[in-house]
Amino acid sequence: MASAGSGDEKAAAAAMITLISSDNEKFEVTEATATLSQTIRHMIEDGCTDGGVPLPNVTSKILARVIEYCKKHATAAAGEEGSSSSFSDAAFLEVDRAFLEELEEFDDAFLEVDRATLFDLILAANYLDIKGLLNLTCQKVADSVKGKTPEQIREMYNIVNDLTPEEEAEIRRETQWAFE
Amino acid sequence: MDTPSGKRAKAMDAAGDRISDLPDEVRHHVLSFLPASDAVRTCVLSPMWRQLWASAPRLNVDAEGFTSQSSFIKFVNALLLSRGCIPLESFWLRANGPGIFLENFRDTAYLWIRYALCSNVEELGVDDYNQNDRFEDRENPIEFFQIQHCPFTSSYLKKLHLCYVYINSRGLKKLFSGCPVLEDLEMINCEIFHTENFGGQPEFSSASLKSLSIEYVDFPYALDYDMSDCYIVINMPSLVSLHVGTLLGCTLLSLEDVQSLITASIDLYTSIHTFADCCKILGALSNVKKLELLFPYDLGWKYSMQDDTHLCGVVFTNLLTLSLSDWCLYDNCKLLLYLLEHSPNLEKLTLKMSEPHFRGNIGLSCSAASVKSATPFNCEKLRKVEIVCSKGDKIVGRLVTILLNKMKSPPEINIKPLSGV
Repeated sequence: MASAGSGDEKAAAAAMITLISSDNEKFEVTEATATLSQTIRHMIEDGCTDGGVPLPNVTSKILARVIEYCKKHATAAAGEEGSSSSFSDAAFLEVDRAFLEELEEFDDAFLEVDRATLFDLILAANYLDIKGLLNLTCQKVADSVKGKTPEQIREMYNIVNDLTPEEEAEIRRETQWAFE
Repeated sequence: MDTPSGKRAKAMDAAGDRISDLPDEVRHHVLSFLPASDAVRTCVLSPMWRQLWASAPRLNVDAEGFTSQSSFIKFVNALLLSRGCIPLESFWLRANGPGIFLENFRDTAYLWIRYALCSNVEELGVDDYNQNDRFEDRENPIEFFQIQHCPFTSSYLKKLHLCYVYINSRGLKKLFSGCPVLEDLEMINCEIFHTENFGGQPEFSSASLKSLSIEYVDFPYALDYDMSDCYIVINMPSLVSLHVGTLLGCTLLSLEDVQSLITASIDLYTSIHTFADCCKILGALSNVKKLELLFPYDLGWKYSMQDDTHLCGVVFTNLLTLSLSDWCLYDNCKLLLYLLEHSPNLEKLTLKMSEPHFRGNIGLSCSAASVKSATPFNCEKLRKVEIVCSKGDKIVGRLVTILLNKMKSPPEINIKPLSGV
């Protein structure tokens, strides 16, 4: 068993879910952590998580990172200070600002990954339907593209320009209003 | 410099073109975090990107980077004309460029908003901000964007965000009746004009709204027209979360049906409410779990026995977290003690004291006598009390004495310094 989990798993009261990565590594997580993924939430609701949840699209390396994210954010979703009153919508209230700051720092540090990992995380977040993680990672890509010229973006992301110069000129003519 | 073939080779040996390989919906998601101008320009990246922007369901029409109003208008018109007939999930209009104000081209802006509403948009944001510009010319201040003539009707709109816009109370009424599934409304730095000719007192009335947040909203002209005070009525039976920040103008808040509220935060440091008005607001919030009520302590308050009637017998059964300013200390902590006694599940209390010179003599001096007179009560679940005050605030010691004397199982009391100025 992978050592991805510790700490909160020891609180055996919570229901545990086993996630199985594409390279067959098993990760045991609490239901609260797992259900940040809408995909897994639906599987739990349908009662088909016995014997573990196989995730053939996610490697153990990426799954470990995804679980790290979910654990941190599951405590946030559970309502501040362990109180059972979870009403996460009301972000404006004094939802313990220190904790929100901590969460932001965690997110920043979490995004310190190479580009290949970032794309793997995006695909995993999309497949597992984890809204917060998908927003976080897509925002990171968007920020890197913002204000850049097409040439710079191609260079940055190894985009091979298959357009002939004539085609490119035609597209630029069609959308001239966006390039002025 | 890389030659084209060199680039190709590099693309092969590195991770390859991961961004273009993302599914369309994920690339749309990436585009949704970009201003529309950046999103459109991705069309020349490669054939895979050519049409992508045109089907993106979320648009951020952002004036940042535009140097003139006319170039911005030209861009947005072309954008909406070139976009496919794809339903919109969200549409944000931010007039945050230098010298770009929506009121200057109101009809065109209406057409854009109308376009979004007709594209079944669920989330709409209109931000007409550029404060510094706006007030630079004091003789001719630029007007707020007036939205009361914009036909706000949609059976899809769920979230609406308005910033630096101007609406009259009739427009506000039409907005709520025209958007029957609206759940979330945020108004920041807006003006709500109200006279008898324009719909009377502003009324926030909706059966569908779940979250309402109004902050720095001005209710002008009440004084100019010698009207009586402006009563803002909130009547929203489905409302779950309420935030009312600073309100300007002669405003009195009146909560009608807000029985579904779970969290409420009302911060009216510049209000003209009397102690009785404050008690009345509190009385309407008897079902909430989390409550923040910050009113100024007013030396002019005259206490009358009737003030209590709004709270008579009200029990705050669900209340877990409570945050109050020193208005609750009025008349020997009468209100604070009432709340503690009638909130059987309260876990955390925060008292935010204003600076002593704002407050004057709050009159806890006779506390010794009053402490002895009443019988202590239970507030078993209250574990934490936090008092935020400025250094050397003499009232805090007396306050702590009162709390310790009145409560059968005294909680942990922490005193924190008032941060900032």
